Amino acid sequence: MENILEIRGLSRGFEQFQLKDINLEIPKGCIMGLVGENGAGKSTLIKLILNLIHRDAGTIQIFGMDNIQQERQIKEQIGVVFDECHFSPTLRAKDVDSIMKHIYQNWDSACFRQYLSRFRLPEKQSIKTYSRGMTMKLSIAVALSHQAKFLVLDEATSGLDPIVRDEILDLFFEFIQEEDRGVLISSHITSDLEKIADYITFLHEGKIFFCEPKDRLLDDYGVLKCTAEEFNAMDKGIVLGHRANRFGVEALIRRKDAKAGQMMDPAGIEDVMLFLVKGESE
Amino acid sequence: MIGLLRKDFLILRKELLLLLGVVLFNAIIHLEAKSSLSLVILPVVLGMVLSLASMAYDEKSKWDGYARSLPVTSKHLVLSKYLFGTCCYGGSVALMLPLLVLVDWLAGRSVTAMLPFLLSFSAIALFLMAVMFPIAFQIGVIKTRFVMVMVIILIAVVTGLLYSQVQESDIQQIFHSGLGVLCAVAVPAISVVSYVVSFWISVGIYRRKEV
Repeated sequence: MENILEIRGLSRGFEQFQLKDINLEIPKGCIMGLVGENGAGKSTLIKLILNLIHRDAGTIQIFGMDNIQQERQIKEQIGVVFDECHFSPTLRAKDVDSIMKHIYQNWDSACFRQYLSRFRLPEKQSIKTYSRGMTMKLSIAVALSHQAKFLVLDEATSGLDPIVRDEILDLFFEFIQEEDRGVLISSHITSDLEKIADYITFLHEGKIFFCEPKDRLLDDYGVLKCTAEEFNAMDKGIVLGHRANRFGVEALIRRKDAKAGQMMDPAGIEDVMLFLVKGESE
Repeated sequence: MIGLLRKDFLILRKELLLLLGVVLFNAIIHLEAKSSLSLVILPVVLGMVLSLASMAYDEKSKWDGYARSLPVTSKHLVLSKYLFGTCCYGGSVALMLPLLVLVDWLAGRSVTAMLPFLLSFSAIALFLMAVMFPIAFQIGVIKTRFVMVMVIILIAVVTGLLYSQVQESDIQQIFHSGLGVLCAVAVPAISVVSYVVSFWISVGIYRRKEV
């Protein structure tokens, strides 16, 4: 399968933090969810992919092209949505159209206007009158109106209500129907990623903790609930992380390691993250 | 590039109309004044004020981070600011020239007397913009505004002192003498060269900056 994004040996150091030796691939036709705690390096990784900051080492290829040598060609095909709208509040949606058509070679005004209509965004009102959900929809409309093949979304759904988020996730589903496209979405809202992502990459303290197909992640892991005595009697080698509460102990284990008769709850992405990080720190 | 320029003009459309009104109002006031010398200061201010205003709007909306994800090079992002500044500066000089001639003609003054002043101050304005842009790209707009306000106050004070100490006829004599003619050629040339050099300095600063 061809990859839309390939990262090899990517590193970038800061005073207090280092993104180290990142290797990542996003196959065409897939949605990659990027999760991690605050300060894990998600936004740093996205900035490196978009060449907004310099890298210390490694290579990044998008559509098979180097992201620095062929930056302009690549960016013609990337749609980017950040966590806030970067258009001046004095602009209107029709101004954004007239600006973008002179920036992107493949800008499609008719498509943009369709999205404005679909999102019920008024063309002639200034952006300062828009709600947060509306500004996000505007950013997404821009990202989808120039025949982009790769969407990069950095916390694009944070701060939005569930209805708007659902509407936006449906858009990403529609976008990925074309097999030569890809999406990289960084989010704290793991339930959104459980709905739409094909792969989940968990970034922890500047390193990739795991990168797995979402379905396998959700199928392989489970949360075992037991008493403290039962936990103490368990083989600790199969425990990937655990936490104690007043009812007993919850432990993350692989389903295949569970004994017959043991009751396992499904583990969501958030559970896997929490248990693995806590397990590592212990 | 056109898209970037368009953005700046669209963001500042209200300010541009307001400043046009200020310029016209100023011109009317100067019908009754002894001379229109202070009118020629306007191009000095307008080019800088509007350029800084466009950069201020960009800073406030964190436009740079998004702009660098668009298919535009750092050079084009910097060039759009210089072109916008040039358009504002050139537009204000082009507006001031016929206005100055008209005001002086209506006031019964010599219509060509102020032209050397206009050209000289316009060249100084271009030079000041050449100094301003790299500073703004390096340290941000808020600090640059402070620096430029100090510079403009200094210019206004020096101009005022000069005007109060020296007869206007003496200034006109200097401007129309050989030295004046040399300055009329050298000062604009230095300003244009400074503007071009400033552009490349700004491109270097912008490329090294991280979002």
